[in-house]
Amino acid sequence: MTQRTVEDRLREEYFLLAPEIKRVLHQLQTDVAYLLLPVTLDLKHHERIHVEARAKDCDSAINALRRREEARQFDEDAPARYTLTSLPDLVGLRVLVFPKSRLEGVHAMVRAKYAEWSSDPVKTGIPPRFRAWKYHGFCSASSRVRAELQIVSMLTGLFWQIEHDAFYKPRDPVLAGAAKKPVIREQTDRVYDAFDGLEDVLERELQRNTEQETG
Amino acid sequence: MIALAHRVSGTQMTEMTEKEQLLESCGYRYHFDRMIYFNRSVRRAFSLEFIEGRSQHEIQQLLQIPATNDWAFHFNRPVSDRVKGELTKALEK
Repeated sequence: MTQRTVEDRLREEYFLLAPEIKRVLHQLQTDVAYLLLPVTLDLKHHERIHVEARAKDCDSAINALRRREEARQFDEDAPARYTLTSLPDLVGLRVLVFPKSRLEGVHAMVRAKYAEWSSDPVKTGIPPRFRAWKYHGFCSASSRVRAELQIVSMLTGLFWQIEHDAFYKPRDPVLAGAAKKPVIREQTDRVYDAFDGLEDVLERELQRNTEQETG
Repeated sequence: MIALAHRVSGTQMTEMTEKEQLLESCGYRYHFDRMIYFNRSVRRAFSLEFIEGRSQHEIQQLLQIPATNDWAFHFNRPVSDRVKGELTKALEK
């Protein structure tokens, strides 16, 4: 009889978890949208708050677990070591905010509601530079499916989507490996810095425009 | 000593990129799928995570260890025989 692989077991686990994954996604998305409703209704014409939520599909979840292993190799002799419930982001929600001056307020609201969740800010580059707030925790809908919340400035968040679509969505391990290569990461960090700078300038110019209109 | 004063787009390279240069200048290749640096002729491999956590000096010392007939895997976590077998098969393809 053929022995089941680690991947076979993880696929089974995914389908057992699937109803809970859906419930967590629905709860988190609805709770955060409701929480941010007052500030969303208060936005000026050029300001934006986007809430984007997703659940990892089965293959993405297994690949994410595999990428946490050195040499991306599951140890088939130790299948009990692997469970999808160890992933911090089976469900993920990202709040994209523009301009930056809105970020702190949005973050404070989200953090107050999810005060128990553990903080794991996104920092990249050398020396590490702050890019986004990130939290992990459980919703009341499930004690097994962990969710991740990110609050990020709009341009950086949109670039992450492009990066994800380019490197990870094709499900090509070579592309995913390329994204982690130091020389590529170094260039990616420069893009983050450029977006930071662009957002700062944009904000300054918008502020100047407001002052001229009111002054 | 290998010259490490390379620059990328006019900016000083980070320490990690310098470590990568060091490995590549010693005949190691980056395995995009596995995210390891490996050299078939000396049968040695380093995981990306291992390289991130070590200094250039430490890596240089490991690079000087003479090759044997078996593959040597420098990973942060101990490598089981099963994983060694799988990786050896993959790297010798």
